[in-house]
Amino acid sequence: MLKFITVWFGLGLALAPVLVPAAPYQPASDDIVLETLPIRNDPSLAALHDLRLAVQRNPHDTDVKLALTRAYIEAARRDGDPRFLGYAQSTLSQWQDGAPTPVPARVLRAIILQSLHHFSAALADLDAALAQSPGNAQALLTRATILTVIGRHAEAQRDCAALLRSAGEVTSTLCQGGVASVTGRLTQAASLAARALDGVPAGDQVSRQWALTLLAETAARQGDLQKAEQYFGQALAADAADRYARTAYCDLLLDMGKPQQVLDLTAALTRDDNLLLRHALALQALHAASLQSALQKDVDELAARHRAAALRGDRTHLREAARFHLVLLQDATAALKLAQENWQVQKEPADARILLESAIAAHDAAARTLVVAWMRHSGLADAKLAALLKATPGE
Amino acid sequence: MALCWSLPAQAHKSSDSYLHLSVRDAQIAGQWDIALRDLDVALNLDGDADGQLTWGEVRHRKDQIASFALQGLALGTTAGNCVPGESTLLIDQHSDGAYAVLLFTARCAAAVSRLQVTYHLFADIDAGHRGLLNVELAGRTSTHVLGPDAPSVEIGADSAGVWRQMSGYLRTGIHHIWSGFDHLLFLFSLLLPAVLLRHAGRWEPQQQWRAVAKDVFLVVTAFTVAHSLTLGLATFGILHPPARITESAIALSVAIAALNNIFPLVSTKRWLVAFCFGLIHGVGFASVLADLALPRASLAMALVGFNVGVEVGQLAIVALFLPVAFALRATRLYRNALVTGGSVVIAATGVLWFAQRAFDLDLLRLS
Repeated sequence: MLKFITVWFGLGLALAPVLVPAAPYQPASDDIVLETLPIRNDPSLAALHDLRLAVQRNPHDTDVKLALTRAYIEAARRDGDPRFLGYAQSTLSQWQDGAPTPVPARVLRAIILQSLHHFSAALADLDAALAQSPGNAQALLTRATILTVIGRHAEAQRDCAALLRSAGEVTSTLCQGGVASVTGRLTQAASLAARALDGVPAGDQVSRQWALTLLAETAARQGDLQKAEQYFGQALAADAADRYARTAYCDLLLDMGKPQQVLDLTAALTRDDNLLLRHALALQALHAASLQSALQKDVDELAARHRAAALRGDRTHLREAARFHLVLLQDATAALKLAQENWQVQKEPADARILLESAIAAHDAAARTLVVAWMRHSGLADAKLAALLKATPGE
Repeated sequence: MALCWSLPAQAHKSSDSYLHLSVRDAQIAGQWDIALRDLDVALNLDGDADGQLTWGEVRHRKDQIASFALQGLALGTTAGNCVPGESTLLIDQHSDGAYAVLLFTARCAAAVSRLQVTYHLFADIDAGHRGLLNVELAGRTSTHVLGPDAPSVEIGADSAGVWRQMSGYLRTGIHHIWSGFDHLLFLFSLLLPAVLLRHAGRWEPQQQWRAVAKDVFLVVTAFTVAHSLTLGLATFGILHPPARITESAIALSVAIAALNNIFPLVSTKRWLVAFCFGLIHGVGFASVLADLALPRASLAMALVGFNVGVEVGQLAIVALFLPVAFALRATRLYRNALVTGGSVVIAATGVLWFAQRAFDLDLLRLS
């Protein structure tokens, strides 16, 4: 009863800061800078501004619209800001509700849906696009990515192979290497990635960065953390703005017990929820009394962001939310629930890891078995998962 | 663009606005927090295009900001739409950046009992934008998320919602009596001797179950009537003694009630003690309600729910305590260790609390 009351009361208190408006003020002078606008300060985003004006001038020009949508998606990829996805979605809004949709618009919509974790809707769009235009490279690659994320590896493998003809050897090889890396074929994955890296044409930083990230992730799965660290360093050098590589690099450094470096990689980028979580994890790992208040500030901020996301029905944060609850709030039960919900949606190695860690912490044998069964089914091999399983033999 | 092989999960906080509406009769007071970044996308606020938004740039566009935002909002009632009037523009700092704060009032044709809120802000620009709506209507506060997929919500008094909110206050009341050590100790001090009789300067077991029941009934009822009275008066602001005095007096009441068991001044009419000190405890209860910062309109409901919760919690304690006390009343353990010893401990705690609260000493952090 008391627990029930505490939970109920706690929930009320927890929601209060989200819902209760804070104290507004009138700035003292006209010169005070209230906000720095990313879109004007990043040269790669400045092009967006021009495209947006072009669409305003020619609202019926499909090509300009698609170009703007692509630019928004690219901005979202680099910056991690979901606003760009919302803008991209709105730019495509004329093709909503079953209106006949050109293939490029369908593919772009699928990419947006994928990043909102609406995987089945995204797959439906991609299937339709590929039925109309079977060799569409972006559609094949996006479908392969989604199928890999949700654990349908054999189908992903087929799309990767089909990419050879439409997108060329580098992309196809990297795609196949990605599937190999999450299905236990680590040596093969490493050699595919290395081969692709050799073939990356000068100036194609995206492919170069992709190859290096794959090499790094594969090395980490093999247990060679030093090698992984080197590759991640090179990957970030290829494209410092890439949030995926930066986040994965931070996770590696946390595993290696190098929290100070994680602070350096994240300090300026804590508007990004994922990097804020790594920042907080690094502060926690440093165990310094002088950092306690900074850590508490991060934890409060993360809690507020997760509440806001939950309130708007956003399901893209589940994996991160599980880790937040497990490591920072040390609430294994809540973490396991989130990790299980996440597991319903996606099955990447990181999803398996948080599920296993939560299962071990919560002493849940069934969830642990689920991970073991998945590893057997998919072939997934990962040094960290193996170490976790070995340390807690058959609880 | 090169082939895009993966997108990170949404990493930033999404675009949300926070709209708070408070309905009073035919008038709606609104506070609307909208991210400046979002307004810039729609209205190009950055006049000198230097990537920095200054207060001057925002202030000069105040009228456009207000009309753009309010065009994205419709407040419908059975008697027609409410019309927004003058608005004020302020700034607030949220965790993800600076927000414009639009304070406005809207006039409706008649007193509002049902309100339909339709939200279209940024609908054609950002499909991911949401309005987090918080409405106070007829004493109830409700929360809704509006966006392009579900732009409209109708809010009105429904009995299920009232009951849910009521039961919330009820639980707060139960929680408060169970976790407030001072109220518990006061109650125990009064209940400990209820199964005994004072005879020739000594405690004797009371043989009559009926007499015990009557005594307990009188004490609990007196305490309840008294604290309900002052709880009501304090909640509606008729009575507002300083917290330090109330809290000190509550501590003193604990000490006195316990001392009365060791050196009985009042042994037959303990309900009088319960009544007098109950008046003070009621003021203490009121501070819990005050901390919840309720809108005035839902105060009455909160008061009733909270008070019923306090009584339920109190009766549960009596129900747990009484059978045990009745069974043990003839034992030395009860008369010496529990009544006398327990009262000494309680009295000492009460004195300590009193010192702490009255003179701001940090001796014992218990309640």
